[in-house]
Order: sequence, then C-alpha cells, then structure tokens
Amino acid sequence: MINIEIRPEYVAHIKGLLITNTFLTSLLTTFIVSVFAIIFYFNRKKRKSLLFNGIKVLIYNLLKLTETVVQDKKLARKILPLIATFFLFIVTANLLALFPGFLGSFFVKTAQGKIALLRSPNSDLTTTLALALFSVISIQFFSLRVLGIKNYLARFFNFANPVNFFIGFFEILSEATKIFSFSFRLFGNILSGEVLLLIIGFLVPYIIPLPFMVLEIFVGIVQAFIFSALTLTFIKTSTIRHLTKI
Amino acid sequence: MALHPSAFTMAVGTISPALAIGIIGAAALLAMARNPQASDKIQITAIIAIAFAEAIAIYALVVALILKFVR
Repeated sequence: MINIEIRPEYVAHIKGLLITNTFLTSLLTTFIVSVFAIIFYFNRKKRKSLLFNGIKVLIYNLLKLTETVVQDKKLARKILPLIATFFLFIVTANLLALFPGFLGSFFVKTAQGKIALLRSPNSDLTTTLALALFSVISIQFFSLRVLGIKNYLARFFNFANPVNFFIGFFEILSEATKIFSFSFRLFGNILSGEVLLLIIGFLVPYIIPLPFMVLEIFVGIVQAFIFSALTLTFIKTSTIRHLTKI
Repeated sequence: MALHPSAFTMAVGTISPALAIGIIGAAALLAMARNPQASDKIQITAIIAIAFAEAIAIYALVVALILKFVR
C-alpha cells in the first residue's frame, strides 16, 4: 500500500554522512533561487521584461510589509534580506514539490526498500527545525543589536520585584516555544498536504487531485508568508524599548 | 472502533481553533468597518493571529499522524 513516513528517509551514505531525499530537494531549491538571483542581477536594468519587473514588485512589496510592521526605515532595510530569504526559500521549496517527479516517480533501492528520490524539503522535521532555529537566533541577534546588552539581559533577568522576575522567566519560556511552534506549523501543514495528495492519488488518480493541488499551492504560499511575517513581528516586539523606568 | 485514537484526536482538537479563527475574523471585520483607513495594518495583524490559532490545529494533526503511522 502507500508508504507514508514521518521519519527522514536516507537514500545515500557518503563517507559516514547520511543524506536524506529532502536534502537533495533543498539543494535543488537553493540552486534555483541562486540562478534566478544571478540572472536578475545581470539584467536588472532591462525595462520591459515581465520576469524582472515581477521580481522587483515582489521585493518592493516585501519591503513595504517590513516597513509597515517595524515602522523604522533603517531597521527595515537591515531586516529585509532575512525576511525575503525566508519567504523565497520556503515558497520555492513548497511549490517545487508539486511538480511531477517528486515523491513517487523516481525510486532508489536501499536496505529499507524502495525510497522516493526527491521529496518536499519542509515535509521533514529537520529542515523546518533548522529554519526555526535560524529564525529565533536572528530574533535574539536583532534584539541584542538594537537594545544593547544591558537592556537585552534586563528583558529576561529582571530582579526589581518578584512579578518582573516571573515575567522574565516566561520570556525565556516563550522564546523556546517559538522554536517548537515555527517548526511544527510548517512541518504539519506541508506533511499533511503530502499525505492528502498521496491518499487522493491512491483513491481516484484522474482529475480529482486537481482541487487538492490548488489547495496545496495556496497553503504553500500562505505558510511561507506566515513564517516570514511572524519572524518580522517577533523582531519588532523584541526590539521595543521600554521608555519609563519604574 | 468508534473511538479510534487518531480520529478522536483530530475531532476534538479542531473545535477550539475553528472557534478562535471565527472570532478573530469577526473582530477584524468589525475593526475594518469602524476604521477603513487602518485596513492594511488590521489585515496583517489578523492574518498573523489566524496563523497562531491554526498552529494549534496543526499540532493536533501531527499527533494524529504520529498515532496512525508510527508503530
């Protein structure tokens, strides 16, 4: 029957390193995004091209979103590369996995049986956990940079009175749950889309998967937007300076 | 048979997120009707709040998938 695996599936064993099929797809995603970036850089002065004007509109809208949330133009320009990279990587990874050839076309024979050669990167908890860790560490970095080290530590360890001490403790807890929540949101959405498409493809392979693929396209774009917008919001709330000292 | 664990997890686990998303949507609409100028900010905040609420349903889904497919 269908083989649905939640654990990562290893397809190659190179010098002691285990390589998963989702890693191969993320390499492909990185390659595609880099190729687009390089082509855009060398042709950025062209006037009438749909592709290059489209990329400009996309980055401009991301910049406007960043400025609306952060409300500080200098900080927005510094944050924009991070937010845009999250958005572009996750969107490309999610949309690429809907092309023919992924999850169920090319197989590799290994000791555990037949394993698909390519699979959506975010359907693996390792990729989403890596993205979530990167996001939370960047939030700490931007907070440290804007607030300075004394105010940054005062966010978590505040010994003025017992109430503030508990608030600081819950701040630490909330940072840890951010990692959990970021990774599981993306993982759950993409994995459930894959399971849904597999089961529908097993039941009625002709025509019926189409509405579900449209749903998957929509979910892929929305989840990428939510990941980057949430990172943006957390950077904004972590760089608030408390103006009055009580 | 009626209380299959993964089905029960999903059935109970999606009650609250559905309610929460409905309440957030209604509050966002009322706010936009009252103040059409702030429409952009209200929309972004509403989408972010809906993402938080939906994540809870996704946690229930992941638990249901683990119960079903991991022996």
